[in-house]
Amino acid sequence: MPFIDVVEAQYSYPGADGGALNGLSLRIERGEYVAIVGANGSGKTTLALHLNGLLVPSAGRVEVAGLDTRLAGSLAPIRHMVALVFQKPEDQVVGISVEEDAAFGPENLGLPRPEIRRRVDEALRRAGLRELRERSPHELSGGQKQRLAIAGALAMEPECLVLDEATAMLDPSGRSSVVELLAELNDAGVTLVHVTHRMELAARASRLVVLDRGRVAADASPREVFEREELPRWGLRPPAAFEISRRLSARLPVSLHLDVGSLGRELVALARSIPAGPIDQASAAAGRAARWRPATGRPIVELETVSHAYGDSRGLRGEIPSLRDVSLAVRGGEAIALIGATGSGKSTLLQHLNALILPARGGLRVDGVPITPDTRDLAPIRRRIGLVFQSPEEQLFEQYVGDEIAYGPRLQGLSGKRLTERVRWAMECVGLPFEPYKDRLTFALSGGEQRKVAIAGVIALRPAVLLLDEPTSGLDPEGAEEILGLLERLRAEGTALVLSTHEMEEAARVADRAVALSEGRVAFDGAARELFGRPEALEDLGLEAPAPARLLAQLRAAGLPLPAVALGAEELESALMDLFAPRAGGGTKRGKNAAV
Amino acid sequence: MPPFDGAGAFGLARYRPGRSLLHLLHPAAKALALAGLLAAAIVAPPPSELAALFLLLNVALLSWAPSALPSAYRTLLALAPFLLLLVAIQSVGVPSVRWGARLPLGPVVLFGGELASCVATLLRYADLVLLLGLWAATSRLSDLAYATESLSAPFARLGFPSRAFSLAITIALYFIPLLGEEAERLRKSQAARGLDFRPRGLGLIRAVRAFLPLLVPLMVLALRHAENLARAMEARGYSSGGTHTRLAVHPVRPADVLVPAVSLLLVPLVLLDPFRNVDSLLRSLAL
Amino acid sequence: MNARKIAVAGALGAVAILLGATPLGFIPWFSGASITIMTSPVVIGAVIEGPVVGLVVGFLFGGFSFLHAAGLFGPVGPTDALFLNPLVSVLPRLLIGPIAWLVYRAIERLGVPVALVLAGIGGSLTNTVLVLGVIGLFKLASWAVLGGIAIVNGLPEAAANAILVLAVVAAWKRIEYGRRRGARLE
Ligand SMILES: Nc1ncnc2c1ncn2[C@@H]1O[C@H](COP(=O)(O)OP(=O)(O)OP(=O)(O)O)[C@@H](O)[C@H]1O
Ligand SMILES: [Mg+2]
Repeated sequence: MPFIDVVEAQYSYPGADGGALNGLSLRIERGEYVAIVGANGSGKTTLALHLNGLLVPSAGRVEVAGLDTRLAGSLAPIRHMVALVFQKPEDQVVGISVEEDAAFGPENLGLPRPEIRRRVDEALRRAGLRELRERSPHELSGGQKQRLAIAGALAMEPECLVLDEATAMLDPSGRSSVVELLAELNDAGVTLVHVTHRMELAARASRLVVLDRGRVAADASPREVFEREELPRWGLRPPAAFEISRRLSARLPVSLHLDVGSLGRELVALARSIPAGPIDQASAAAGRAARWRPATGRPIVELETVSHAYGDSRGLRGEIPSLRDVSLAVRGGEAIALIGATGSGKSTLLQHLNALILPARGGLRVDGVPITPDTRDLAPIRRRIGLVFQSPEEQLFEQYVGDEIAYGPRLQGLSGKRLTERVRWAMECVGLPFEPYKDRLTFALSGGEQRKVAIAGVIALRPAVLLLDEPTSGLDPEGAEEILGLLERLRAEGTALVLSTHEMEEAARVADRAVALSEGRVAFDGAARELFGRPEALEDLGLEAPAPARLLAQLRAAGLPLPAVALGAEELESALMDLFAPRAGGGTKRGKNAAV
Repeated sequence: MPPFDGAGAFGLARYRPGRSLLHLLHPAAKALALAGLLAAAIVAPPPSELAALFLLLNVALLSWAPSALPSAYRTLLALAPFLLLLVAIQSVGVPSVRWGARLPLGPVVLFGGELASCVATLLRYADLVLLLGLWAATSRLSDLAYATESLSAPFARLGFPSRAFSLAITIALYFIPLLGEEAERLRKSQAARGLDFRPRGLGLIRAVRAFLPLLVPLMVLALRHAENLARAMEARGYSSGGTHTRLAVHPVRPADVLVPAVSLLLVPLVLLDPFRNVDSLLRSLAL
Repeated sequence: MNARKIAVAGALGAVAILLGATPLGFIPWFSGASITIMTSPVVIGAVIEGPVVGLVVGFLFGGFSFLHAAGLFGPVGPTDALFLNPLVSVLPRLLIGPIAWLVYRAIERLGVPVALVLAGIGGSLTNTVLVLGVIGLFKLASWAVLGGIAIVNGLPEAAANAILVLAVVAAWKRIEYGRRRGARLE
């Protein structure tokens, strides 16, 4: 008998048009580590909610250890066995203190007090929160809150843990601490079901299930799934290491890898196995890379030695400095990636750039004009420098899409034909066709569409500089791709971009200049490729370099003469071919080698 | 428009950490005692009892939470204009209190009874403010939820959703700072689109519409948070009417019975008015 | 109460308190007057999740305004003294939700948007009439003054709450309302 057995399950949300699950079948055995991936709206969350009876199928059935979730009597034992952790940690807190929150589950099980105490202690220890037990959950960082949510689930001592994008809100270091915890749990025999948009994380599972429109579209090992050519149709793309190794395998005898480390090891071994030919190291390193030159011209917006401290709203500590002596100038047509760990001050910096926060110390100049608290009207400045907040879909309020996007331009005084034209332009810019979408109900759109509406609402003001805070967070790979495409188009039209992001691949793709923040200071400001060529420096900042850069660093560390940076897979490939082609004397085209 | 700092306004609003008798009292006992004293202060008519309570509260505050005293008096000062107006309406010139000696106070002449009534009203409000200030200084906001649950537990058998009720309070307390931050974020993101909250013209609808970009997303967010939270609660085994245990249990000590008992006894006592003689003495003095 | 009702009650209670504690809840109108909209979360709770949730949100809102009047959450204004009496601050607020819910259920069959508007008005007027009524019963102010306040303040407040209740519930339940269908674009 399988541990979890989903048979032909169907479910549709009340009031929704289509079904969220359309005859989905899935079996999970005890001790498995299953990753579930799929486009936004493919039914992942709906499935997760079925796994412990929070939703029950309208047709078909879901059984956990032989118990049918439709029977009222089986819910309590099922929830005891299968624990769920959701995406937003702040939506899972039910206690006044960390400890009481972790105790909520065991309390509901009606366990005796000493047993609750034991479980809470154990769960908090595992999640690394023991020192913070007395804190109010409100005083935790995002990563700590997420670990508290996991601790709350662990305190139930479940046999199976289902995580629905439980790492989405974390920065790389926070993410890896959660991922390590998961591996530990799985080793200890806990069945894991991990819903995620990050293919690197999905690749760690032993089994990968792809959902597409409420059905299982593929169910195999991660490697097999990533080789399927339907991947883009499912809204997915393979992890970077896989993509790189696939490219290389067409020309070099390398196998397909899921992570950068093992690909690097194979490449090093390959290089050692082929007798070294004469290598012109200089030529390998030079050329190729289009040299980055700092943008010239008058800055549109300038910050000069700005410092900022938030008054500590919790009244516990003093002021928390969030920016220290930051200077930054943004010039026309530039694209800047703003990177840094959570809490490093990225959002605060963005808000300074469009005068939402006026510098307490230091200066802000827009088009050369100093902005001070006495500046009468800040609205024109905010129109010239647009800001898209994180999860901007949450700011929508108008009934109809057209009105939502027209809101800013209307306040600006636009009306009639010109307003309509402006709205049409903005909608088409973000890839929402004007006619069919302008009269749709804003709140009935999908999450990805809502995000596009929100971005359109800002670019409808035609800013010269567009600031974006984590524009792709929470989107599936294809959705993220669309947003990135949009940014590239805007840039080509001459809009300067500043985007803050945790995703280094994204930063490398869109931006040519990188600004790294660390504890409120500018730790790096220069060519993006230069920064990505120093993975150790990035690690110090709590960040992870993009996959090609990590691979290069690994190969260079093994003594291979390679250039310091390569941003895309293409550039990496040609750098590697420069290295290998002369060695193997052109005889490397041995085709794909699908070992391991 | 100033930022909406929910957390700043709440969090540990007036709590002063300490280990006094009141700090250590069981939250439910403290709430009962508070209720008794509040009721006593509201029903007590004669100024002598209110004055006695006033003295007592000042002593209690001074000894257990001295730093809470100034803010209590600041509050009283802020309420003063209205209170003076109130006594002017309620006590001056009302026939039932026109007794006693005529006391010339500057241009006006008051009866002793009028004066006593004024003093009683002022003292009553002062007592209420000091009482709540004392309670808040020695209680965490979270005690509210615990007190509610303990006090209503006996009624749970009659079908009162005792735990649900206290959970709703806990959730509200946790959501206030969270939504305060959301409101601030929304204010900024709409400001980035040119919103300035200036009402345009006199129209009521326009004034309200100017706030919709803030209020609609805020409330939708609150509902969405609630929906997610409900799922998380159920996933962790919460079911309505289900039995449960508790990790944190406040021990009940003798004082936890004694203090509320004394305070609750005050209500009938005040109604019986044992200080009648003192008051009549005052009356006769006023004569 | 199921988990959903508890969570909604807590969240909307928090909104009501936030509205009462920050400038958010006071919409500036002309000449310094402001309209309060604290009753709208109570009505929304009642309409979406039923009268009990409305009652709990009302209780949280009322309890807050009682404690607030004693200066526990920051500076107070002179007229807050009125709310130092739980019969003024708490009791009337308990009834806002149930009454708004009754109004909503009675009118629902004429169309949800209309019912939402009237529930908003009903809830707000319940608050105005009961709060002022109790104040009058305690002789804390004269009936003439109270009647004036009811008209000058109470009616616009009811209208503002109605707009808000409609906009929020329609967004949440994805209901289309208004005579004009579609964006106001040419
Ligand atoms: N509360 C809801 N009401 C109505 N429809 C819903 C609701 N939640 C989800 N849906 C719809 O059900 C379908 C499946 O949604 P689900 O949330 O399960 O997708 P998902 O794979 O988790 O997406 P994401 O990657 O965005 O988290 C979608 O079409 C979605 O629009
Ligand atoms: Mg999902």
